[in-house]
Amino acid sequence: MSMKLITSLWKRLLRPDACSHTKQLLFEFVEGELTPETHRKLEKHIGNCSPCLDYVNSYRRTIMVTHHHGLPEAPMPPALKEKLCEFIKQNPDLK
Amino acid sequence: MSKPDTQIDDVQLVARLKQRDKSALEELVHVHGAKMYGVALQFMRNESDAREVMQDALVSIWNKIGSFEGKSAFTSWIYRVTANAGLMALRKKKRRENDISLDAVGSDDDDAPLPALQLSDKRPLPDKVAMTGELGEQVRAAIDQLPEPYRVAVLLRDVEELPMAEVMQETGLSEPALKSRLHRARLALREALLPYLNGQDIQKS
Ligand SMILES: [Zn+2]
Repeated sequence: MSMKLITSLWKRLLRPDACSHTKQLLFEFVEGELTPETHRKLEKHIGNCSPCLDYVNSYRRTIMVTHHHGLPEAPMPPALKEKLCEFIKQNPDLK
Repeated sequence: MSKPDTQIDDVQLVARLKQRDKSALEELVHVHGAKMYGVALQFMRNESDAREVMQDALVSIWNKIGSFEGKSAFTSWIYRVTANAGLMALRKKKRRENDISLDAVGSDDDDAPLPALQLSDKRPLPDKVAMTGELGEQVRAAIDQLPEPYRVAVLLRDVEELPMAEVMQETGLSEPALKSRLHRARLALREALLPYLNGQDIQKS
């Protein structure tokens, strides 16, 4: 068996493990909390593994859309605005 | 309204608040009330509780304005104060209701993913419509359905983007507990939002 074949078999054997690392280290990876070496290794795997890439990207997108759309954009009910202004005028704690 | 104008207005607002000008507080409601309401509503889920949170936040702003040094934007400071008032209100409510189910949900030892979130039944296809206005609705619905401890973690960290240390302080969670909670919440949100995520560009930070 050629060295190349052995390497590729070895890589294939290791692959599920590398993929499970992506799941295990996802939070730390995305938050940039891994050691540079681990980060680099994982990044390399993710770059070569499309399921992992999709997974990491969808996690990042989740954080992004949560930030951008997490709060309702509905205007404040006018009655509420009035009540709050009344509250400000009346409240003894505000002096 | 352009950004510099808003900032100038905020500088004046802060100055007036520090001078104990109560009308500045009313103006704050007019200018920043909508976003404050959004924060309060996302915590409390109903208008009347959200109103109480806004009132608490207004009292806090009034009392703490002296400690606002202008290092962060005034708006983020206001929203932070509002989020804090929301958190306090949730705690008070929890004590009142003596709701043990929330505690049961909060166990962090359990690595199992959260149960799938049930989004509204009108699930549109992930087309252009879903990518625009409806994405927001889906995101908010998904956050809304997270069990409270997870919702709070997501609101403080991912929506309001408070630093981890501050979220730990406010929730009283240890770092590993907070991370675990946040991660599980994100995974549950990801699961729920997966059909809507493809068109979203990733902004690396
Ligand atoms: Zn992989």
